[in-house]
Amino acid sequence: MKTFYDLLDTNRRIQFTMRLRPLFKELPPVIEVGVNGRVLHSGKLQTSLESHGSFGIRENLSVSIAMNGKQYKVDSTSAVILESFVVDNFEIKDQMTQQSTYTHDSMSDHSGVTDHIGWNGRWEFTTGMPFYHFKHKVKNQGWLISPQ
Amino acid sequence: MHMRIRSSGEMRYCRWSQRHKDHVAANIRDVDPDTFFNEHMAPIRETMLRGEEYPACADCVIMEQFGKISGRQKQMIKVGIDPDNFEQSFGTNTYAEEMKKSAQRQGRTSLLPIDWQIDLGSLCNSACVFCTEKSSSRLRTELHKLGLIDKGKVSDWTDDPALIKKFTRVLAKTPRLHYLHFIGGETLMNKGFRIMLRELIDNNLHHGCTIGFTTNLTIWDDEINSLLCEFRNVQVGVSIESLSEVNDYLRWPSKIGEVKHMLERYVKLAKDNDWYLTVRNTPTVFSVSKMVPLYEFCVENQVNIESCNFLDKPEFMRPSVLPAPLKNEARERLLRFVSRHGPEVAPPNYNSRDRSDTLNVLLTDARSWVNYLEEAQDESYRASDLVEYIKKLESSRQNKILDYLPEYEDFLRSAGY
Repeated sequence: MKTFYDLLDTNRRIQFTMRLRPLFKELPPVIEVGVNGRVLHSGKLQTSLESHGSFGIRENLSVSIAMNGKQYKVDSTSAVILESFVVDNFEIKDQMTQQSTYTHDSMSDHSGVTDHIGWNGRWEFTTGMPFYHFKHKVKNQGWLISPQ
Repeated sequence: MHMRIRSSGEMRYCRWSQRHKDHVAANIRDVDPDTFFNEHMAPIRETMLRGEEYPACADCVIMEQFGKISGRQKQMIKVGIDPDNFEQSFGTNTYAEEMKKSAQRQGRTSLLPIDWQIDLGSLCNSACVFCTEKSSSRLRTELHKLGLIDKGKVSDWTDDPALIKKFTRVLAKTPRLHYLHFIGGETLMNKGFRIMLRELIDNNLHHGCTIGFTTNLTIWDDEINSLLCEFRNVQVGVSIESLSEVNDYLRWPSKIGEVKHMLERYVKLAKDNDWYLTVRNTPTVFSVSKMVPLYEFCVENQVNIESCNFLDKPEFMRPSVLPAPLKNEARERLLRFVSRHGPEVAPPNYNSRDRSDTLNVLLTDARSWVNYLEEAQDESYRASDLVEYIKKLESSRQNKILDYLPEYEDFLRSAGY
């Protein structure tokens, strides 16, 4: 069995897998996808993308998807869909879309609560706390008690 | 962060610890609770920090083996440890820094317990067949009359006002005191409960602290209820084994008609005050086959169940004493309940007090009993001890188990009934 000190190893990392799917008729979306400051994809997204990575156990998880150069008159469908985001075998896509923010160039006031990034702009999500505290919260695990 | 004080005043490191394997104990008459927490519990912390199992934690290991939510898991989630990802989540647990400090101080800590189980005493108006003389004054008197136990000297710590003061002084100096769970005997009969609630209010602890208590559904006390309304949160555990008449036999001498009426009153009281109500049953050889209507009641009324741990003592009351056909029948009933409401296998909800997920909490509990009935070691060899014991009780109570469970006739007769 591992000792307490082994378990507090600060180099421990949390694995994630993200899946994105492009939508378009003429022009594939041009996007930049980042997780905790690391760019996972930059440029046209022609086919579905599955990306794997990791982040530190004490870090907040921050995900951004920026779309640029969409030509609305040439291909209004051009967009990217966040299909899945799995962290240590736990799917958090629904929680991400519920808590995401989306600044875009649409004249209409579209909600940020979406998994469909179809406007030029930037979609962002952050746990705002270490991942396992976030998971505790979204799974409604009750009290999270801190010491005196 | 957690501690227990038993009826006798004996303090223990955990409410779920196995008493006969836990050799660290001291009485509040001799040792202050804060000293016990800081000093006496240090070797237990050291054992755990070394990554070794502490023998008295064995009960939780057994619960987890059958998919029942253990006390260990319930405590883990309170500090942000995910039982399904223990190693990954341990590093960000909210007590990690305090654990480091404690490791550097040979298991000592400057913290105080913020989560208590307080056994007030053994004064009780019930004599449940599965209870022990240590927890019920009524059963103790009866067993003594039957010659089954020596009278012995029982002294509940809350009978002494000075000890209550000593205890509440520690609570009053505890920063962010979080949860106090009171049990009896019957909690509402014990004067210490009222006194302690008043002390907590007088010390201004009621704004930040949640009160929990367990009652046997035979007593209603308006004064206690109005004192409880002063607290930030209240969690009421109601003890009932079955909605059928067998409850009368098990929780003797209560009557199921009155108990059901009281249950409905408590459900309403909890709803009216936004208190959290949970059913606390103790499944035994006699009730495990009669639990489904209770689960259905809980589904209908959005009430969670937290059934007690698989019974440790008395051993002959364990459901695993049932012969295979009765065990299978009980298991089939539970399985039908599970498949009526959800899949046979699903991820458990570790937060058994999650009011937004009552059905899953109930299914997690029911599935654990299905697993237990299927996999627990057969203990049918204890049937003769069971029969010997209930025959003695029945001679004093003038009742007969077969009036309640005629389907147990072959089983009990073959064991000497």
